[in-house]
Amino acid sequence: MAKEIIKDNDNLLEVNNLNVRFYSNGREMKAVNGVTFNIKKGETFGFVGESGCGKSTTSRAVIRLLAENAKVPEGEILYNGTDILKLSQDKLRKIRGKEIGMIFQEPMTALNPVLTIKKQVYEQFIGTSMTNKEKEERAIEMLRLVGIPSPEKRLKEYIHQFSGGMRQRAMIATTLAANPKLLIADEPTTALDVTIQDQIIKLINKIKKQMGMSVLLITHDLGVISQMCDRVAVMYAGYFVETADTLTLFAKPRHPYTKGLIDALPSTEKKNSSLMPIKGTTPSLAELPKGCPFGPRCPYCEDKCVNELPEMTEIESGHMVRCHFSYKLKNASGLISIEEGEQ
Amino acid sequence: MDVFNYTLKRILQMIPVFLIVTVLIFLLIRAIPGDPAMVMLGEKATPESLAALREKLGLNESYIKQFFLYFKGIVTFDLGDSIKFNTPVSTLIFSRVGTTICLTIMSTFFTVIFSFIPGYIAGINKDKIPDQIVRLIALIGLSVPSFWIGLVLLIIFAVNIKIFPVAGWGNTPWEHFVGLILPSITQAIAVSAVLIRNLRNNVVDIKNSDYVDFARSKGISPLRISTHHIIRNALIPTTTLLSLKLIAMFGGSIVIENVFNLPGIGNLLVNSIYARDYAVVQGIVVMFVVVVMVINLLTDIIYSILDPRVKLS
Ligand SMILES: Nc1ncnc2c1ncn2[C@@H]1O[C@H](COP(=O)(O)OP(=O)(O)OP(=O)(O)O)[C@@H](O)[C@H]1O
Ligand SMILES: [Mg+2]
Repeated sequence: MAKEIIKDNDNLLEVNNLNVRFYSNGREMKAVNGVTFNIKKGETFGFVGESGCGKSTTSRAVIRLLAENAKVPEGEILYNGTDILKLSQDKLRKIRGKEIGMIFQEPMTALNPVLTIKKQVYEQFIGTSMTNKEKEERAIEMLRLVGIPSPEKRLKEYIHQFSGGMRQRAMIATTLAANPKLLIADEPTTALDVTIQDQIIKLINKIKKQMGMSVLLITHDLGVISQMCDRVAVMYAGYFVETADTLTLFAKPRHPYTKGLIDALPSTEKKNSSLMPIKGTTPSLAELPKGCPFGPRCPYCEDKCVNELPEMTEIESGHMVRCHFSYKLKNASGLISIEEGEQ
Repeated sequence: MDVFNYTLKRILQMIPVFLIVTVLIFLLIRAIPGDPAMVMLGEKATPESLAALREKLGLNESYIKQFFLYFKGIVTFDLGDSIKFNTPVSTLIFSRVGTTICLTIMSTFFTVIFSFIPGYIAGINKDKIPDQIVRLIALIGLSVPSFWIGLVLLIIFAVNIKIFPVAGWGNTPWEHFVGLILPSITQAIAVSAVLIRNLRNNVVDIKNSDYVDFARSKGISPLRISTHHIIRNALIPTTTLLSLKLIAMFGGSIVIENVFNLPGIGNLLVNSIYARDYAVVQGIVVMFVVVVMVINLLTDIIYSILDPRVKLS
């Protein structure tokens, strides 16, 4: 176990050079490309990016919950120093749930519609020595923790009997019942309306502190990132294009894509109140360009970008960017649009 | 709505349907060409004997009067007498219905075995070899008529190998049982194809569903995921379909009992039609209608029990 001692022990999760491929209709889709990141104990790490950029795939790979047509040709996923990719199915099951728990976007479909919440919470206790009474107490405690009123009664209900916000709370309670050290939350607020979104964000933040968990948060909403995350990775076409702590990312984005995303935010400031979506569409994962994947949409694109894939480069401590010309954005602030910045 | 109120409501709704169906049966039987008295008496018929028989059958009355007599009979559970057997229709049906019920129960048993196991295996192995084999078999099962399957089974297992009787169902319970095996398998093959497809598609959908992924993310054993999350959920629509297929099997007994010469209701019905035994035909068809309506009702109730999302209303 010498290996574990050498590892930096602040990191609960360390993902190195992760690659995921999907095979369908004889085509290879490069869904995740050379992704590297780590999550420290008690930290919330966010993935942000457009639909289809590989956020869910990356996070599911962490507990090997990928579709049957997926392969992981390369990479290392160290959880407390143990490579999850090398575990046997039995050992993997001991990590799932108990160490790394997951919540999904749509609680209505993520909870089994014909089992009561109680049965689904109790599944977390299989293999423990808990008595029925302890199980019930723990389940009720969990529902109470996530703010579900009259938990004794609601435990016996089915998911369709809950309202939107309560459904998400019920799923969170189910996951938390196993007391995971890392919570993977895949778009936990996307399906909810705005006021409930806010409640769920506050709830996860509160519980994270209370239970001392780390969180991997997935969203396509920078607003949610700003409310929850300590550090962020911006994903594009299966690549990480920029990682930084949240403040730095918003204040000094150095990748044109990140900047475009920030500019697309509806701002409260008058001069920038119009939406600034990034023109163009993401490349197909089956035919990624050989150069920078963002090149075709990038206002700064040059020959070098077309021909050569930029490496992830650390430009400041803890701030990594995958761009040949990131210095061009050095003096741009997060509030100026790409077009204006060009002039 | 609770089960009791729901049942009551459904029974009330059945009354008009039942009325319409009785009228239809009455008219249809009289639309069969030929004079029943003539058919019954055959070559020995004399004008006097014909007139006497017509009188006895009430054939000289107006259709309206005939209908009211017939309807009164149904609601008072007096289905009249069989002319051919000279016994009350209800006694006749009662003596035959046991065979048909046994046939249907055994057919259901084989159907469950023939459809649930391959359906699940095919779904879990979507697009792999087991799935392709099962789908091919189901396709063949769908396209071949049940009487033909029955005849092939008869030729193989009764004529050539001689492990089953060619026809009839003997005199002892064991002989009954053995005699029902080939007919039940025939029935089961005929309805399994649809159920296999249904279950396979359910399993395919469910094994890729969010809630199965969520269950996996909790670190539950693969066995428990299969039993508690995949099989249980996939069987809900299939069970509902199976109970509807019961109706098809009950109806299918008309063909199967004649192929295998079993003394059941279906056999009685066909013979009675040939003999123009009006009262028996009417009685059996009315019974079929009631059975269909009751099975439909039970299906809806079972569905609501299996799936908590379904509300009786
Ligand atoms: N089983 C699969 N087979 C083939 N392609 C897949 C499969 N699962 C996902 N993909 C593809 O991989 C890419 C990444 O998908 P992923 O679900 O990780 O994106 P995402 O960033 O989570 O998007 P969203 O915001 O829509 O959830 C997408 O282009 C998707 O079409
Ligand atoms: Mg996703």
